[in-house]
Amino acid sequence: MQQGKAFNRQRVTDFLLHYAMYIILLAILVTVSIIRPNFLALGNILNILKQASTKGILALGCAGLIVLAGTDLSIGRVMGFSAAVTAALVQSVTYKSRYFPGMAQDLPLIVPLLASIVIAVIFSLINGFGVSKLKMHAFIITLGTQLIAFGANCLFIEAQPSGTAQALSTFNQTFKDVAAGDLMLGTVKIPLVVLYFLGLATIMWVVWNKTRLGKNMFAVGGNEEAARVSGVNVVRTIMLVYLIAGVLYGIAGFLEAARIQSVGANTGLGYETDAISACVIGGVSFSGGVGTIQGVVIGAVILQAINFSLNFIGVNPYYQYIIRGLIIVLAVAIDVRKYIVKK
Amino acid sequence: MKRDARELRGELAGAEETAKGRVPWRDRLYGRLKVSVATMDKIIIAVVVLLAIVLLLGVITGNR
Repeated sequence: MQQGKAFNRQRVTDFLLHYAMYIILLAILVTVSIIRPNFLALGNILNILKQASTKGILALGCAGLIVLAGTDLSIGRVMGFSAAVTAALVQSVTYKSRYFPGMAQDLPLIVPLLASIVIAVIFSLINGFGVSKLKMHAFIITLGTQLIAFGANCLFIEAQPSGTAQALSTFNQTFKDVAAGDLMLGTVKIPLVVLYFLGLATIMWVVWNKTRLGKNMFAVGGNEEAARVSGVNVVRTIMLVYLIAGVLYGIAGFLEAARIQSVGANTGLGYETDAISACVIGGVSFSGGVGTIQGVVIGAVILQAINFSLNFIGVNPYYQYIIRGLIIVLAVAIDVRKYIVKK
Repeated sequence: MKRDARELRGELAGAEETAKGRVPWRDRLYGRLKVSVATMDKIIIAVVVLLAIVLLLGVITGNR
């Protein structure tokens, strides 16, 4: 009897510790909705989803790198640079201080989208090369590319013909409609960016679960040596995962430019922490080889809901930084515990 | 064929070096992880308590 009680208590403790992150995040959201009942209004929920979308797309890219037991510190700055290039190419032709004064008509949207993707892919491939071929730690190489992307972005913004370094704004209507428009469902406006996010998440789910690349990625992340011995081309797998991440960062940069409507040198600052946090909250293990796309999507939405709720009840932004940092520490501590239990 | 003692010592040192290098890479990533589940439980509880305190402080100072 005594033994049974102790066993049950142990099981409850294990459950609470295993799911501590979700319990706490849920508790925060419930508390906020009790303090401010209008927190759960449809408008707020759509706003949370909209804000979570671009960061979620970044997290989808970053998750693959974490599954490979790596990371990417350059996400925010690379996305910022991609967004700046997009912004320069989609400025309204009637705007006097536009980046390209010689541009007499709006470019087809595929051009800025491709330009944004190419920029992000270049940086991502440099990271991939450093990790796979040069065997550099992802922290080091991505720290370097983060600074390079920031410097390049500052130079790009400073090189405006108007001679100023002001944020790039005043975009053409087609861009705003396509990248930041809404889909009317009856009286409800569903932001298109949310649909793009869900579409990309579906594609990534297929890549992770139904393709050889996905299987190889988990094999390399789980045990690189074993994967190599089993005939997996480790370098090719790592490069492809980084390439996909680059494509997603480029798309996120394109969409983020439309969402924020004004792209400056500081666009994307700190986005890497949000993307990495979303992955970790969503159950992608820093030890590699573990993670799901649905987890990343849920992680991105939960994280944004927390950010939104803390703002909603007026929590000091400096406290918000501490809270977000503690959430990451907690997520990693839980991950380490799971790893030790498994070991 | 008899081998020199120095040669044997060299081989032994080499083998030890190789063995040292074969620490599981997950352990290298998370540190050596010479920590028990009970200790991790305590750490998690401590972080949760800290998080709760910061949240409370944030709400109190935010509403001021």
